[in-house]
Amino acid sequence: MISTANYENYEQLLSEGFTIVDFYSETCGPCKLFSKILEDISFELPFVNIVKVNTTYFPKLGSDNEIEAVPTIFFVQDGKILERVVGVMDQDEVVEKIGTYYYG
Amino acid sequence: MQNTNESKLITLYDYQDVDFSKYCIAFEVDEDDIQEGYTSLSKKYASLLPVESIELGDIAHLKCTSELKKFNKDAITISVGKNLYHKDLEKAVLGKRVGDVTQLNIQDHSVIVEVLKIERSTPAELNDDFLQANLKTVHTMDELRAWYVNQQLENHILNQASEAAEMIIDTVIEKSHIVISDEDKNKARIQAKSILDQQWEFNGIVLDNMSDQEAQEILGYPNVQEYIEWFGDLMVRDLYCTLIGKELYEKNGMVLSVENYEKALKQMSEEENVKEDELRQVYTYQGYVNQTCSEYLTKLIQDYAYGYIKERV
Repeated sequence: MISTANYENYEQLLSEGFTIVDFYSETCGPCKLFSKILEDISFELPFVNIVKVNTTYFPKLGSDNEIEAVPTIFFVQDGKILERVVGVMDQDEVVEKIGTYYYG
Repeated sequence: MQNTNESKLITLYDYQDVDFSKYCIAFEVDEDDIQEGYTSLSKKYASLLPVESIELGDIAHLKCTSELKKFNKDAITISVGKNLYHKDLEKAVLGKRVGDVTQLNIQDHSVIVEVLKIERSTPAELNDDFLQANLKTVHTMDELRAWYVNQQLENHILNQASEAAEMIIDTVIEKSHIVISDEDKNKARIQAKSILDQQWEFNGIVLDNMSDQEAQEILGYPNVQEYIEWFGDLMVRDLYCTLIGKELYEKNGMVLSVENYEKALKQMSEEENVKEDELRQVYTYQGYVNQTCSEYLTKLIQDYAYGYIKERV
């Protein structure tokens, strides 16, 4: 399932379970490519939470999380960041991370 | 007598005299791309529907009982066949129905699997009713197709305009009389090297230590030196663009002033959440002038090319 973060709901969206967080911006071309990858993953693995953070509209979420380039992806478990990746990942790489972190 | 240390524009070639009609390429609708759009939209609005028995790709909700911790779960959800949980377990539940129980051995331990629920991710059926219920900007399939076609056309024009603008600027540089001092060229090349060093350091790579093979694999250049020279050439080209941009900026009635620099600094400070004094160290007045003029030139020429091409494709 894909959710959209804002200043009010960001912490709560990440607080429980396994979540993939996608930091992107409006003008970022590679972000659009990665967005499509996440949509495909959401179709095949709808039980995985995906949270999208638009750093153009919510820049403070970007700066608070020390986002220096987009896309940046967080893999989060119960609010704790397990791994952060800068740059586009291909679908197989993301699915492999889900396998590692979601199922332990 | 001309100061040989000073870069300057002597005569400017008029960009409107550049012939770029070869960039007015006719637009053709890409039907495959439109189909991809439909597929993507269908998937985005997919529903999870209950099904009778498990097939590959289904979402199965299972209860697993075992002495092994990983396989002792009151509720675990899997996408059957992705093999993210366990390949043999996922194979064993194929064809099973809700309530079915199956037993298998994993790592010499018994694992009992009960099927709690089965769902299938089903793409939405695209039709007028669906669009009216779910989308704000299009309400019929005809409008959806028109939206995709318009996006393709816009991208086509933008791509052509971008290429045309590069060619126009290169031609203006070539046909104008511009003098760039050796001092300014050297500064630009030193700055280029510094930028590249910082960028690659961010990725944990020291550019100077890169071998020729690594340069070919990572940078796409025969060696690091050629890569650095390429970027240095871009920075030197930017010097020409700054001078041309400044000429056009002022010719079109705009003013480069310290007051405008301070306004730009303040805005940047607010947007990037950095103190003005800190920003001033890296974003000097000269930097502001160079950036403003260079960006103005790019936008002016791109907008000009865009308008010209749009009328003709």
